[in-house]
Amino acid sequence: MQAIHGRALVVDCSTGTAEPFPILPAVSAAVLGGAGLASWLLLRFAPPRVDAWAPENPFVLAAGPFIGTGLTTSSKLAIATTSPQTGFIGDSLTSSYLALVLRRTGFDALVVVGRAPRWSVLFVDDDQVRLLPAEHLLGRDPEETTATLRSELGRDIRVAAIGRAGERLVRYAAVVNDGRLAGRTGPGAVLGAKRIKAIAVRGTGRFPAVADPDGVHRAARQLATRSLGPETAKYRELGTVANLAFFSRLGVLPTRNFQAGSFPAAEALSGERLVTQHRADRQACAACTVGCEHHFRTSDGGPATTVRLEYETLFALGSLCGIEDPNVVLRAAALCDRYGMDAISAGGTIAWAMECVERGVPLPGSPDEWPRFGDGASLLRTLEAIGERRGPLGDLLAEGSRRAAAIIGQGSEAWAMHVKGLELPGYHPKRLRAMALGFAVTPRGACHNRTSAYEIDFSEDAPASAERIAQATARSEDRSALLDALPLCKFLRHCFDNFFVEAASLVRLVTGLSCDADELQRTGERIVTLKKLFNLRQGWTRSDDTLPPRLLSPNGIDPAELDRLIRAYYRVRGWAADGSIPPERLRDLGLESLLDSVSIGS
Amino acid sequence: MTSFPCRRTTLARHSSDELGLLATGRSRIHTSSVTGHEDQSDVSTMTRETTCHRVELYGLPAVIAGRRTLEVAGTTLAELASALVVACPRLAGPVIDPATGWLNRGYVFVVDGRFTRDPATALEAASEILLVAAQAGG
Repeated sequence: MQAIHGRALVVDCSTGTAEPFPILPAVSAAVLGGAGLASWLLLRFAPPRVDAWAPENPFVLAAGPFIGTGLTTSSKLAIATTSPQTGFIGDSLTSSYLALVLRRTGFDALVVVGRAPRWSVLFVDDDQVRLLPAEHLLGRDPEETTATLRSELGRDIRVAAIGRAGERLVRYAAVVNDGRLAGRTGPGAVLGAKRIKAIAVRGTGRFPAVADPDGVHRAARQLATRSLGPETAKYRELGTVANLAFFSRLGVLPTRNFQAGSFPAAEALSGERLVTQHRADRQACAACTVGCEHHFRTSDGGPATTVRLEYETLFALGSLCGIEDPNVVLRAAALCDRYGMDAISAGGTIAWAMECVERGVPLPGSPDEWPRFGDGASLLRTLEAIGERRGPLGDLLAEGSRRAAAIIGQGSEAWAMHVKGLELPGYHPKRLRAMALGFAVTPRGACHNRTSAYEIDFSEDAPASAERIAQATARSEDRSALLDALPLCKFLRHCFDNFFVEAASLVRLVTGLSCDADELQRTGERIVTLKKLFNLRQGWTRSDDTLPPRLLSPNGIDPAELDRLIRAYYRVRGWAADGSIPPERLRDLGLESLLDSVSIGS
Repeated sequence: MTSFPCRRTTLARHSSDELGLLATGRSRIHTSSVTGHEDQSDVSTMTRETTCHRVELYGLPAVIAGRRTLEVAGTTLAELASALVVACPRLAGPVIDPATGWLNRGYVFVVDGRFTRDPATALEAASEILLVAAQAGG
């Protein structure tokens, strides 16, 4: 197989040792790279039932075969670790130049285990590894940290850093690089637990050779051209903030902690309004022709703030918290970036707290400090308290909505809007059956990205039967897993007429593997299965695949219907009725070496 | 409602709301005759009833038009798309293919909650029609 190095770098921060770990060609062919390789390495290096805070919990950064090939949007890194929020697999994707330099170190992946004896910077300088003191970086936000390290170590390094939220083990802390956040599932908190303030990488070697350089070059040009077509216009022209007004109109915009699906002030927060009244500029990730990253500036006369904003941040810090003022949302988004926090979980946890206050359930600390729906000042104040873990309220909410509700009790678990401990993103699933199923079953927890199942609900021929919804959801999940393994950005998904067929052609050109569409679909399924295997080993049970009580109500989703959907999904996957994976299914997918993962978990 | 010789150029008109007003309603324009003559021999065509649909625009179409809604006439989505270009010529290109008069691949209609790119979709008088990006979601 071409376009890979065939080895990972394993660093033990406790001992200060580093050594290469061979990745056999069969493994690379089976999982490709990115999220597939990261999931495989996590399973390989994590002990069963490992705690997220434990030194033994691996933190994996993995590149994919498409990185450095010139294929647009391919400069993405996958992160996998045990999530401090869910206790299950925490995988995040981030686009950056870091992906490019990591590939040039001669390694396909970096596996970090152990805990540094003191705060450190892990510096991978081609094949040399050092742990550098990081005390002088503590308290600095990711952007400052990056600037400092580049001035100290050279402009040719790239950095992934955590902010104060990661230092303070906020469970949804992000890893930040090039201004992009890998936030979901809290990988920044795992780095914090390892006392790693930042990972700095210098790679000066060559990218591994591709199988057909001329063919890849032609394919890259064609894909770049297609990436500029109407299929991506939404992302180029407005970005994902365009979703908000439309979602409110459809009744699927989570509002006031999912108490409603439409926000009366949606127009004020709409992407159309932001673009016409707050737009600052537009940028692109490394090696990307789409350029979906829209920056917006405040206009309220306060300290000028310009920040990248996406739909998920907009809904989570806007309608979910009842906030009507776009300037407040922009300032809140900037705080999340500065502290290095996942905005969805931050907003979701604060919205839970707001509902506690609304219902008269007391929170710790002074009532003057409690957050309230629609109160922008209280939102900003609470975000700072969380980022600092300041006071009993900040400390409580830094735990996320599931744990905070368990601590507060008084029935507040009923409005803690999470699946497996991960707060729901911006799709009210009451009217979206495929998305509801996707939220319930995806190994990561409540995630829209790993299934893209909303597309099924929003399609021309939306299926009606449980079996067809389950089939479509599983196939969409497989496609997402494959995109994350190549990697390619999901915003390209509509640029393909037949994704698996065309992706197989690209894989053949890049890697030389003689794969077809069916094999690639199986690769996607294999990666999803790896993630599920990790969860099984962590103690997953059937009861983990569900939705928050609020959604399973007479006015929401019929629990019996959700159960039918989940059982249909298990059947489509070839899993047992209790969601476990039969040995023969693992053998079908070439994962027989991982058979013991199932029994260990149980 | 029946077939009619829709004079879209005269029926298509902008609504008064500026971008920033969330429109949810519809309006109907009943013209007993847009030509001034009714064909008494054919019930299916004599009414000449034209329904003016309020099309809600989301995303780039709204930004281009500078408003949330456009009111245009049509009995099918194909007619509606053509009428939209007449009402807002700047939609031609970014949203509607000038060569075909139909939506380019980036856009889709939502008619009464159903996503569709079928130009033959018949419109009812009370149809709620949204024009949105085909890439719904993030």
